[in-house]
Amino acid sequence: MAQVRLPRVLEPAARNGLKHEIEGGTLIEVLDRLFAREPALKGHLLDEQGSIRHHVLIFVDGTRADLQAAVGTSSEVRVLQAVSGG
Amino acid sequence: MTRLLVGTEKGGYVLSKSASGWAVEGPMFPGWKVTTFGRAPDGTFLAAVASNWFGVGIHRSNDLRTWEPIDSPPAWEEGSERKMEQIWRFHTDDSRILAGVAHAGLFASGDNGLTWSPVAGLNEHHTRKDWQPGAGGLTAHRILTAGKRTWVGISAVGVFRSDDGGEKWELKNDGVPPAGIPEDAPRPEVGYCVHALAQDPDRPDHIWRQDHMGMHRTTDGGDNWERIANGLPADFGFVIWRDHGSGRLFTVPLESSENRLPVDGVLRVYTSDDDGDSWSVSGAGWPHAPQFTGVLRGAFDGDGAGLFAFGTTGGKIWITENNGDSWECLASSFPRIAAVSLL
Repeated sequence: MAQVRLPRVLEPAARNGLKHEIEGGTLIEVLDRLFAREPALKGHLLDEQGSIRHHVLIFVDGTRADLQAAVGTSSEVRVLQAVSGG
Repeated sequence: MTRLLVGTEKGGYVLSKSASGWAVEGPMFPGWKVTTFGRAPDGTFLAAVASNWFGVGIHRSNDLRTWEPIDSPPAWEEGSERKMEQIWRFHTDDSRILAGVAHAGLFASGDNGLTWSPVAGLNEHHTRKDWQPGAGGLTAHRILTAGKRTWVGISAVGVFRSDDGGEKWELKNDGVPPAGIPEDAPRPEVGYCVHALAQDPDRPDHIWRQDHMGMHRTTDGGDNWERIANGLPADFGFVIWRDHGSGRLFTVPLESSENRLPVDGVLRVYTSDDDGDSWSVSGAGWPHAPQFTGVLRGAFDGDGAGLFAFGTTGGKIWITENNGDSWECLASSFPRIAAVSLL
C-alpha cells in the first residue's frame, strides 16, 4: 500500500493523523480513499474544478504528480504546501 | 468566566480573565487564518479557518480546547467558476446558522454547523453578473435577521433584504452613494460598499450602517438611508456596533478609503447615545503616542454587560469593562486581527 504523508498544517483537518497507508493505482484513487477516511481534507487539497489546488503540490516517489499519475504498492505520496506567498 | 476569542492572520487565541489579568492560550489552528467565530443554537462553538493554499474549513468545539473539523463546509458546486475563499461571518438565530462567504454567498445550516446548503435566492440573484469585489474581495460579510426578514451586506454590491425567509431578495441602498463612480453618473442597481451593519433587536428595522461612503442609518428596514456623521473626525471605517442594553453605538473612524488609518494616528472609539444623531470620543485611557493601525469589521464585539473589546491590524487588543468609560490595551501582541468574539 502507498504511504501517504500530509503536512503538519493539515493536522486540524485530519482526524486520523498525518500518515496513512492507502491502496490505489492512481493518485486520484488514493486521494478518493483518503477523503473517505478524512472527508475534511477534500476541500483542502482539491479546488472547485476537482483539480489539485493551485498552491498545493503532491509528489509520488519524488516526482510532482497529477491526479492520473500511477501509484505503486510501495509508493510514497507526499503532500506539500507550495513555497508561495508570504 | 469571560473568554475573548481572537482570530488572526496566524491562528486563533483564547483570552481568559482571571484575578491577575488576561491569560492567553494559543495559537489554535497554527498556520491558518482564523476568520470568524460563532455559536450554534445548541451552544457549540464554531471557528472558521482559511488558507491561501488549502481553502476554508469549519471546526466545532464544546470547550474551546478540542476542535473537530466538519466534513463539508460551505462549498460552491463542483465545476463552479466561483471560489470559496473565506467564511466571513456566522449569524445564529433560533434554529439555524447563516454563513456569509467569499466569493460572495450565503449558506445555511440547520444542524448546528455540521452541514450547509446554499441560499440560492441570494447567491443566484439576477444582479450577480454585475457584482464587483471591494478591496477585501467579493464578500458577504454581514447578516441580520428578524423573523422572516433577513438582511445581508455584500461588498462591493450593497445591502440585500429578504422578507420571506430567504427566497426573494431586494437591494436596499436608497440614500447611500455608490462607491467609486462620479456623483453625476446614473445611479446603479449594485455597487454599494457596505462595510458593517448593526441592529436594534427591539426595533429591527432600525439599522446602522458603516459604509465605504460614510456612516448611515435607516428606520424603515433599509428602504431609506440617511447619513449620520455629526461629531466624527471621519466617517470611513469598518466598525458599527450597538450595545442592546444601553442603546449605545460604537464605531472606530478611519481617515479615508485611501488611507485606512486613524486620523493623525489618533486611535479612538466614538460612541453615540442618541441613535447616531451625534458622536463623541468614548471614555479615557487612549494612548498619547500615535497609533497607525486599523480595525476590521469583525474585530469588535461586546458582551451586552458593559464589556467591549476590539483588535487592531497591528495586533493589539483594547478592552473596556465599563461600557466605554475607560479603555485599556492588553500587553500581549498578536498577528493582524480579523475577528474578536466574546462568546
